[in-house]
Amino acid sequence: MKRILVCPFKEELISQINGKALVICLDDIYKIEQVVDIVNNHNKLHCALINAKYSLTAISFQNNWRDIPIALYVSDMGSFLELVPKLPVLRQLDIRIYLSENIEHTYTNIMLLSSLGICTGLVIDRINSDWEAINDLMHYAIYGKSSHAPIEPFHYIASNYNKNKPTDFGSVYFENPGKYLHVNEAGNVALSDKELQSESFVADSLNQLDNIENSPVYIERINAWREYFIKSDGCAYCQGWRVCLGKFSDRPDSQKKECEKFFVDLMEASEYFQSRQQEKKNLWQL
Amino acid sequence: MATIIFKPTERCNSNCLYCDVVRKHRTVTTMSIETLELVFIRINEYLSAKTEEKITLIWHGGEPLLLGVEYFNNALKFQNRHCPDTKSRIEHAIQSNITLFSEEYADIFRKIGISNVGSSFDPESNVRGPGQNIDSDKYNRMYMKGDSILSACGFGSGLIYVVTKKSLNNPLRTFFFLTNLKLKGAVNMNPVLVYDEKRMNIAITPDEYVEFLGAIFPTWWEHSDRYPEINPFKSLTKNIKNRQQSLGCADSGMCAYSHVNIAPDGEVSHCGRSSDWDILPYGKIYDRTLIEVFADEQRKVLFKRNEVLLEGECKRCRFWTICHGGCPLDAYSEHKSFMHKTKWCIAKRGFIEKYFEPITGLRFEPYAE
Amino acid sequence: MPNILLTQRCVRTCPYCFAKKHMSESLSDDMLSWKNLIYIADLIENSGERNISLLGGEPTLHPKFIDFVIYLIERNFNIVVFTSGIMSEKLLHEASTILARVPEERLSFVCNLNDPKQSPIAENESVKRFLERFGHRTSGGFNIYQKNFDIGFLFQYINRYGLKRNVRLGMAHPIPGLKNKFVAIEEMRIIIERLFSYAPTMERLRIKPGFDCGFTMCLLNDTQLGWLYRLTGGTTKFGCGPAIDIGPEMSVWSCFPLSSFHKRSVFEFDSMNEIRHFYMELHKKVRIEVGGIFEECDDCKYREEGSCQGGCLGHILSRFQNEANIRMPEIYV
Repeated sequence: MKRILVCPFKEELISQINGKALVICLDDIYKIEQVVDIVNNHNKLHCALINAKYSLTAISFQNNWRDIPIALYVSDMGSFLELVPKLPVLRQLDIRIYLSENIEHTYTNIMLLSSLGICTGLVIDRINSDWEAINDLMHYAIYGKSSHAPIEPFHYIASNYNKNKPTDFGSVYFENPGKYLHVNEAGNVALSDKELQSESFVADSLNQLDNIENSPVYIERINAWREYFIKSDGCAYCQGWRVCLGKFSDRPDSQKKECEKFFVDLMEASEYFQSRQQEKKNLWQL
Repeated sequence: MATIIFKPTERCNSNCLYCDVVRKHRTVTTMSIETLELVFIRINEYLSAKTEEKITLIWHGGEPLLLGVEYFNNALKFQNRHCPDTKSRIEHAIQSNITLFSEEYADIFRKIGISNVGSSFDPESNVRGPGQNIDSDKYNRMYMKGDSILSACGFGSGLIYVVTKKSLNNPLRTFFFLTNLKLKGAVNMNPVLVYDEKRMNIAITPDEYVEFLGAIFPTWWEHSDRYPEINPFKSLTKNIKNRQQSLGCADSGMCAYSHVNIAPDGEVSHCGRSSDWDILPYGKIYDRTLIEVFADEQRKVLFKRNEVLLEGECKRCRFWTICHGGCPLDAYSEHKSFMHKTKWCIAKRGFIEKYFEPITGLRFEPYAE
Repeated sequence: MPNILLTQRCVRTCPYCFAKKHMSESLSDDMLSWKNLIYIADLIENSGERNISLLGGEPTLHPKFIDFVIYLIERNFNIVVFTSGIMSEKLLHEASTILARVPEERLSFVCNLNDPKQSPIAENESVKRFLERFGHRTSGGFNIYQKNFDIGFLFQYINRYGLKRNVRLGMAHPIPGLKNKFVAIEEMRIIIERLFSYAPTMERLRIKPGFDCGFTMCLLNDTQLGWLYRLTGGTTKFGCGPAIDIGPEMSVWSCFPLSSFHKRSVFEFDSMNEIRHFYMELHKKVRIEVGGIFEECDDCKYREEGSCQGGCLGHILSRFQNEANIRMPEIYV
């Protein structure tokens, strides 16, 4: 399978890669036109992954970014009134705004952005997640009757959910070894960003990319879910497993009931979402 | 269709808490190559004489993968050699703990026509596993390794879960565990059958089995699409809702016609259980053809049982057509006679009346067989 | 047009206030949240409606008042804000900077004006500041609660601040279970006579009167009706029906005078139509018991034909409070 490489914006590194889809990580959003120029020479830009250290409202969005796929992590949304003048351009862009749970009012801001037509993603990264608030947001994302932009990871899960298969929403955050590989400046390859940072590489060089699937580290990682069942871990007994896949197993036990309730509700919502999709009548095509 | 419970070995690499096979201490624990060849000769004789018949050969044990890949290669060789015109009517299936499964097995299984492997797993510790202490951690790791190879090689696998006393603490959680492990595969939840006093601590009563199933059934009924192949729920739903007879050997009342067990030493008996408990022996495969075995006079007692129960213990029972008094071997084990129903028929009726019918709003109405 | 209450708090304590009962029951710091605003906007949008009124208390007291207005504008709603016009200079400055960008046809105000002679000077000054900035997108509103009212100041304001040339005239109605100041039924004709004493001025200044709910057709004689028709083109309604008010804590009720009458939660309904239907059915039930505020209402052909609803239900429900409970149980507050 052809995997998408997630790598830093380093020209030298990118010049060594050929014919791949790339996610280019950078901090400075104003360099994305440069990214496009460099990447699209011999590769294809899957998206620019911007880890901005500033508010959404601090960014001066440009009309000519219109065709650039952007995943934008921001430190917060900023003032609504400052956002409003940016909306006309923002709505034109191929952009998804990621907001962390750790930011105050994140759940509301995501709803707000979505209701105004901006695609968003919630980063569930708080050790004590507010599962009730996440559940409320999920309900809005899936059951909301009014037209609004997709909210991730809920939309991804609802769209990809299969009752009899695991649904791994790691792809929403570029964390899915079946789809994304992470590369550092030196060309080392890891199966996740975390492993890249901790130097747990699956390959030492880009030349080994084609053989990744036979690597013991990769095979072990693909089968890592089995550990929950070998050890009879609590997550293996959870009704929400097929969607969660143990992503929050490191959370305190006190949270486990709450996250289970959330994922069970999410499964129901996904089944509802898919039944609605099936109900949509496909008219014959001209 | 004839079913051969084929036990070419009774050796096992697991010492499961509830298993009878490994406790029998047969002198011959693995079938010789010569006997294996003879089995295929016997199969060919049978199928040549019964031109409308098919045979399902269920590789069982012990643990059949202990035989080694070469053994299966030999089986295929013998099938090709002795059954050139009948092999299309031979189906292979296998029940294995898959702990020894490998890519090499995948190759031979494909050639022999096996695409699905029945396996067993238990989330409770020290129920399944090797050694005196039943090392479940080791078992689980080996199982998972085998399962990952099965999956990578494109094989399907079902799961038998044996409900023991240890299962009763949290049935629903156990159900989620099993269905999480087998998101698209089948899970059969069968009650443990224990016949010696030493292991009564894991035995369950029919009522306990009913309560175990009852704790799970509402969730299954609400989300049967999510958990598609769960038994006994699915087969019961077929029986009751769709009025299709979907019965295992224990409930079919038909095993007299269909089943035979071949042990490592060539001993032939009625089925796996009869072999384990030395009931209904039909002689040796060296001395008797399968046609003779299926015509054995002892089988008549099983035909007779249906008549006796219908006029006696099961008279007017509305569940007769889906129960038939349960497994005759179980009945024998309890009463030292086949002419009784088993205690597990109470479980079936109890579950339907207490849970299935009230929850689904469906009522089982007997139908003609 | 549904009314959304951004807050229950108010800067005034008008003796006639319809909202009085409701506000006294509410927490003073109860403000509509962003989340609930989005929910309500979705509900209204899904119901195919595009017009929303923002009310209070005093809606501009909501700390996110401007944000909310802009948000709803961004959601393509048309907004009418019902305000006293009393607000801090800071807010007024901010509002006039930001809201000025919104097209006038999308955002307008109804300023509930009290007689300046009976109001504190500071309030009057604040109102004037508001009208100086927003007069061109504001209609004046006046609530009548006593016989000797004076609306001459309205005409001055219209001319001085360029207000829209229509005035919203409301009669204070009783709030069942509460003692607010209101126009008694027997005073209504006097009120009408006094109102029509301003007819020549209105005609001269081309100011169109708009009657709020609760007036009955029979309060006006044919000459007065003819004058109204000529001035307003027949748009005058003698109505009383569910206005649909949504409180900051997501409760919903028919209208302010009926704020205690079968108050429900917005979350119980799937659309505005459902809410409206729910309260409409209750109105009908009351009207089966008693047609209107006058005995004649029961047989009135104009009421039967829907030209007049028979006056405010608040009067009828108040009357029920003083009698034995012998009617349909649903109609009691």
